[in-house]
Amino acid sequence: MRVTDAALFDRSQRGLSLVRSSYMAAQQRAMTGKRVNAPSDDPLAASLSRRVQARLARFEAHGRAIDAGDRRLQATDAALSQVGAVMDRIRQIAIQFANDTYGADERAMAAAEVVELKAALVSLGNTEVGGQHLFAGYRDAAAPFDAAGAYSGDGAEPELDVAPGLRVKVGVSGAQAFGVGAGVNLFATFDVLSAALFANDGASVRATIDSIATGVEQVADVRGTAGVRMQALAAARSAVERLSEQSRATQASLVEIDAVEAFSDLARAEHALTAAVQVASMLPPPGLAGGSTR
Amino acid sequence: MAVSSLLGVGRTGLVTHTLGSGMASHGASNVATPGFSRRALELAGIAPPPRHGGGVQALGIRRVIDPFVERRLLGARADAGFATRRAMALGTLDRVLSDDAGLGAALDAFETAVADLAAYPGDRAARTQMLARAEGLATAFRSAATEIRLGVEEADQRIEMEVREVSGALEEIARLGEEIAKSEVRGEEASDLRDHRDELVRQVADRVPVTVVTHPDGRMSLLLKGGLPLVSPDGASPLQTVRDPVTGRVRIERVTAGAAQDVTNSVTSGSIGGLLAARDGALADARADLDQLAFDVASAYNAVHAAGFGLDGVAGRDLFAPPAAAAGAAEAMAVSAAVAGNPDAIGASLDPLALPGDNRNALALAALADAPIAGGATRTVQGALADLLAEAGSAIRAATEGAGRADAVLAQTQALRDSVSGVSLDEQMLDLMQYQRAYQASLRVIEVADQMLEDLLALKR
Repeated sequence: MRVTDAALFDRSQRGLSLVRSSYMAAQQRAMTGKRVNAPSDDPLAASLSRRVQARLARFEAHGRAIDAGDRRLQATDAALSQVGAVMDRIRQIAIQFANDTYGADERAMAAAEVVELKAALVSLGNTEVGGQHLFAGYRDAAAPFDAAGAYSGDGAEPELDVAPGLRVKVGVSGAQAFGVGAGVNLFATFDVLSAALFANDGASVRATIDSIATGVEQVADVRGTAGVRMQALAAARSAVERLSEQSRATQASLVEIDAVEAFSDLARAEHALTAAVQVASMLPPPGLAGGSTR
Repeated sequence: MAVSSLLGVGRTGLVTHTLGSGMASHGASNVATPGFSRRALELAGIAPPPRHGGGVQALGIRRVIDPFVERRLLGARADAGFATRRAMALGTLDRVLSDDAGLGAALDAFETAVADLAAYPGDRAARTQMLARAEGLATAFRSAATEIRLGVEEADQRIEMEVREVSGALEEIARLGEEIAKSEVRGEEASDLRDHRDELVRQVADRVPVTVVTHPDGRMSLLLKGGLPLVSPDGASPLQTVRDPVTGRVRIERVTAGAAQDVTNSVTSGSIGGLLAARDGALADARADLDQLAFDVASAYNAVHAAGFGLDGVAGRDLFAPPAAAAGAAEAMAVSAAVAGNPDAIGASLDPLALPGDNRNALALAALADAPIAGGATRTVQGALADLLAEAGSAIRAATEGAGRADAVLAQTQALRDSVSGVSLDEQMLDLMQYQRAYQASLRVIEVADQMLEDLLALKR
């Protein structure tokens, strides 16, 4: 085959531009640490990576929902535990002053304590975390209980998505815990007890003991429910973390490049480029046209 | 044979080999001229006496070309022009869809902000964040669609420019045909005109698919794929561009005898064909997909959002400005005026009496991330975007690989053409030396003849 001067130049130019573009690609991979920088680098991996990334973003949102729910349930649990303490004290008072050996003055003093405890109970019923009143249900901007213990919440139990396909309740019903509408109304029980104590009415005091015991159970039940929901959140958290870990690994295998591989690729491309430049700079051999005229 | 006729023989050598040296020098000078074909001097001996004085004559200077290789080169250049231009035009799409560019990231941010709103439905910060993410998503759709539209418009402008260049070249080819015919009738050498014309034909072939028919008188016909003549012995039928009144896209017409004929569909190769393929192929597909996706997102989120009550107890608001139709939906995407700048208007609640903690509509909005609301209710939004990435990515990759292949074929064909018609300096130098020696020999012949004549005249004395 005849080899012409233009063909020699064309070839070295073409070779240089090919080596240059592969050097640039290797450089970009090494700089970004990613094998796939644009969809055309690997269409399938880019497409899968988009799905995985979307999933990872959702897992992060699930993580934040779990945090929010957990904070809420922890605060609910703490509040209900204090409600339990108040109820224990009330039961003690009821049992102690059911005994008719106590006189009117002593019962009146106990009645005053019951009134204090009711105020404490109202305050617990209005527990607020980050602007959300825990026992108000959805209408959580305002305190659900007034001083008398009248309820203005809606008793709803808000839900959150905490894992793929898993929606859990992250609150408990204030109505249920404090016996509004159904169950033993704690505030009314307190009122009955304090009235009975003020009236020095031993029989009425004794009559409250059963409903107080039911109220204690009622609070404990609701607290138990909160505990179960916290456990569900903990399970969801470990599931989401495991799924995230898997997705991150998938993502890495789809688009990331091993650093050693990236740099050895780059070194190879650099070597090829240097060689191509050297070869090109050696062209063309002088030939007959380059020799001296005589 | 007369001694004096030896002088004539020497003279033919001087003339012919001067011509040969000139030809070799011409070749060496044009070593870098694109499209230059090397020349061969055709020599023949002149019949000996009595009829002639003998010697050498140049029958003509021939361009060394192989018409089959030339034809292959035209095809290879059209293919390479097509593939390179198409890949270049699709580069826009690759940038728009690369993950850093943000449509996917904006979608992630929006979907998670909606999910976050469910945890704090009454919280102003969460509402502001979600509104900002909705704006971000709309912006990402808008800028992606705008970039693609600009890519399409750039393709149109390039087509207009290249069609003008092709038309100029067609006129020039027709004019050169005239000139070549006239020159050759007069017996003049027209190789350089032919080289120039061939190079123009190759430049046309870079842009549109053409085949060449040469006529005996030196004129040429250039046929567009499908057989319509762009150049005929009667002259050129130039190309022009018009804008389609419906789509606004550029179409290509062939003008002949004042009448225009649409030839857009014949331009299936060459760089103009590549621009058309990119414009009407992957770019148009991606644009339609983005529009459909934006339409689906806006419609689905609006439908759910309208059921929700804002903190002000008002329901029935759109989240995104409702798109009239899928076409153009991506570029028109925006947060609706009813909620823009008013985070309280976001309808997170299903019950105006359960404000602000009711997050049921926020949960319903968040559930749209997993709902098949795109692609004709078959895919999630993220799934449809992932499919778009796969489809567009494959098209771009195929175009890039095609460009590499077409380029390699072109390089091979060009090398073949060079090996037939290209100039080798070494050869030209050898030719030059050869003609120089022959010239010296002819001088010697004259010297000898002169000596002989002198000797002859000396006989008388």
